[in-house]
Amino acid sequence: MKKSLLPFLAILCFVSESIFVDLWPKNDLYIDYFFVPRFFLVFLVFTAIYIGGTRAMIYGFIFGLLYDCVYTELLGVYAFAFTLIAYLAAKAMKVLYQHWLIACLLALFFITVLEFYVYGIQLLIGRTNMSLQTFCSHRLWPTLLLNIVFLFVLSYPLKQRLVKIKRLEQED
Amino acid sequence: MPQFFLNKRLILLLVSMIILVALIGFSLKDRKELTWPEQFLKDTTGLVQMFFHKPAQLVAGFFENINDIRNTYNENKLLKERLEEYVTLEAQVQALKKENEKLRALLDKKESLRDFIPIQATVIGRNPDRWQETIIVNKGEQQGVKKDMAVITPEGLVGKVQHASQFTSTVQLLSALDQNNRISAYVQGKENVFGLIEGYDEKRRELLLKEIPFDAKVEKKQKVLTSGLGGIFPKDLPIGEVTKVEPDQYGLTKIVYVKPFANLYDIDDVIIVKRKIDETLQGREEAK
Repeated sequence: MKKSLLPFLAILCFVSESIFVDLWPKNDLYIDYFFVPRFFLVFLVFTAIYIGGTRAMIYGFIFGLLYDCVYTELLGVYAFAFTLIAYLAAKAMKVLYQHWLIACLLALFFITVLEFYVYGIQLLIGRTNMSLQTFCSHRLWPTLLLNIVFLFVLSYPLKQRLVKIKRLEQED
Repeated sequence: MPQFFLNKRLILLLVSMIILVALIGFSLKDRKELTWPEQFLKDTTGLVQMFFHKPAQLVAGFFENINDIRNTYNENKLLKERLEEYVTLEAQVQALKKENEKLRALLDKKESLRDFIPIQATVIGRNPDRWQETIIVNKGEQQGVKKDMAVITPEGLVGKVQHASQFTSTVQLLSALDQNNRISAYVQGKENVFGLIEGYDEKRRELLLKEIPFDAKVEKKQKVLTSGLGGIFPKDLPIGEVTKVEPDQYGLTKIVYVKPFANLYDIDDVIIVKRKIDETLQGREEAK
């Protein structure tokens, strides 16, 4: 039970992204602006900070690969990015102070990095011709906005949960 | 400097970057089928998605219902008016259908490009990063879905099957149309005008019908349907309505803007279309 809690959280975050996009009301706002949920990335950064880098990297790789297979059919892109981000987040914590707000800011920073990275790859392989300006105004800002709201609502409970999992593990 | 190259992490990073490029190259290849690990991962995730999707949809549906109730009265009035038209139309269709069957029997021509077997499917997921508009539906190869089959809603064409795995499949929506994805279509009129659907205008949210001869007569409000000549889609699936005609940049052909009948964004249930003619042809080949 204790052991399956973290994987369950990971799956929940992973699946909720797709369901979120599916259930989001499809009005003009949806069509013109790209609100990309990055719940799993938030979960990943928090795991790296509160549970540990190695574990976060494993989760990052497995779910990154899943993301590639299931959604984009472009193998390797997210698997690489998620693993690297988990590693960097864990490294960053050696310098930064472990605080809930800092974790949120770090998550937002990595979301920006990921968006730019995926945009770069899409541009490179010629799947998009979006200009940098439209990318920023129609993709990056709405995405950050959505994730800020998500962080605002759920990051504190998520942090509490992760700290609890860590404590339970240390007791064993 | 030598220390720089001996750094184990750096080498690991470089190696994984090479693997990344190789993997991207592999997945960009025009693949007919997904590899079995990919299919397996897709099906497993599909199962989990189905599990979470239903309750989430119920909750979301509740709020939508509240919204609907507010419009019920007006809608009801409109629908009642329409209902009378519908009865006459229905009678006409029945008569025409019978006549068609009789004539076909006379000619002893059984298969037609028009016939298809519908496979009902429900959307269970959507690509969250939305670089490509794709949806995931809960029917796969086991139910007879194959790559490139047309996907429709009762209103009209919405996309085609990008890849099918055993129990789920990925549908590429028309709004995500890429360059090497063309649909043979025609404008319905006194004389049918044939062309190819190529590309999507994001500003106008309309499809582009190209390769129309310059002297062809195309007017606004005319209907655009699939022609069935592309060899993949059945004939006469409704696509949309002409909204604007303009000459292309060289002035040799025309570009027609087509407003899709179906809502390409808000999709819950779809019908995957399996051409009947392919089955009869296949059956004949096997008989040989």
